[in-house]
Amino acid sequence: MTSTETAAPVALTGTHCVACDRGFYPGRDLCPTCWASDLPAHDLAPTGTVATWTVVRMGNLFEVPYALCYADFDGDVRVLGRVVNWAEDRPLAPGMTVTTHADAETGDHFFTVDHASAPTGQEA
Amino acid sequence: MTNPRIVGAATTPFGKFRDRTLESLAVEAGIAAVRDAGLQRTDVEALFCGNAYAGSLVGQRIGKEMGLDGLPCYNFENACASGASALAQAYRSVRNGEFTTVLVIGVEQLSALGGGLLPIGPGDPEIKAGLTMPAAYAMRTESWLSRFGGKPEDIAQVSVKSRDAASRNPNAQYRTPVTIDEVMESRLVADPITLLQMCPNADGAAAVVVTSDPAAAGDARSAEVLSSVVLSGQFFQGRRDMAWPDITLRAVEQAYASAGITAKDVDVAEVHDAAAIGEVMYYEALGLCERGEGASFVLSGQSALAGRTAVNTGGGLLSRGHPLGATGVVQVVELVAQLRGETGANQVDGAKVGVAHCTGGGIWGVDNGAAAVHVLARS
Ligand SMILES: [Zn+2]
Repeated sequence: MTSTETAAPVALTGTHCVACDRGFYPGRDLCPTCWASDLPAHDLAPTGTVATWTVVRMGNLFEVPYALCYADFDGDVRVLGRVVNWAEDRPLAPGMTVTTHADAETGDHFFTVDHASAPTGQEA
Repeated sequence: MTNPRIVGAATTPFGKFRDRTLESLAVEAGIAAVRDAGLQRTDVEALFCGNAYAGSLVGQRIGKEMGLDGLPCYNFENACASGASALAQAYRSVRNGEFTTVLVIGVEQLSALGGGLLPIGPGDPEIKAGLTMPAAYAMRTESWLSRFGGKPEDIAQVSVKSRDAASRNPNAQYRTPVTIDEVMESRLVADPITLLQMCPNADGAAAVVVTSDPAAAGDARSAEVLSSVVLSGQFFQGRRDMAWPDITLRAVEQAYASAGITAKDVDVAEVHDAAAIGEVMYYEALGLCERGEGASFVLSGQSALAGRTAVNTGGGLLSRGHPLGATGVVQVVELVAQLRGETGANQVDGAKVGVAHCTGGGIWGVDNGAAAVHVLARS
């Protein structure tokens, strides 16, 4: 995981409906509220905040175990992603900061967590 | 309009039946339900079928086996709420006077798909990012515990209660009682959820006969359907409380209002315990206890047979098993048996009002794809 842990941050590109002030990731062309189409591209902030998380230990999507979290970004956009620098002895906690990255080949996003960013009162 | 009544109800055992066909399971439940109603094949005017994974024309495949071919036949897919959705439309058709007597069958044969986690939404962005169904429930568990405190084993107590109930239900898939230590020491699936806190895949079928025949009102074994609600999930891109199930709250509110009841009137409930945390959340969402008290509700025995409101008296999805399309119907079969006083060792004394709740699947951005709530009352 060292190669991904040091991977450069990549902002995730979604879309944004100006009329409704709603952000979307993954981006969608149609705003479901006002039906504006061709919504413009919009980059999320490169960091978000862990809302909740788990470690998947059974499944065939990726090699198990892997950590997964929902992170909240500015503009009220919540994104699910894998946290590639998780380790058994380095658990996550709500409130931690994650940085977004993208796989060079597929463009699929993933996160790294700042292990030092645990809010006070939470276990790191 | 007079409320339709359920006059016949039956289920097959749930389990893994690789040597049987989907059709044979459905026919077994369907014929048993019609016979339970004291009716005949020729009394059935239409077939409403719920199924999630068996492909197209499931109702017709069943109907031609049991001589219901040629009738109006409707097929419903709403993931785990498929059977409840079939019942909801049967209820509406009968209530509107289109038919007098119809048969509802929910059926699933998951063993036909092979083992392991179910294939859900390959095009879904969250599945692509690594989400599994247990992971979704794991994050609901983490959210609930972060907000209200307590330990994972408090929530896992649901599995102990579930197995205890299933030990007295001969149709349940897993009938051996388990201790809290056994639940917590079972395989970790997605932190902090262990295998015994997730429902098993199952095969099975359940069926009910719904009628507006005035004679049914004098039938002491009939159950009146007071209300029937099916809703879809709302899309949220942003922050949402994963431990507060928006779609279920809306469906319950509508179903209670339409039935003219409150949570206090509910004697027995069937809720969608696909995972232990589900049952805890749904105690709260159904108003059986206050928000944040779901874990103490089960720990103090309030959801057990002798408690304030008995929940999942047949073992629920966790132990009775979860054949997706059959679940919404078997919940109603269990409630009808409770209202009739026919559940034997799992009987809730004097049960008058029962609520069945199930949810259907999850897709990116919505709490659940579907939620269904039915309120039933004793004759
Ligand atoms: Zn808009």
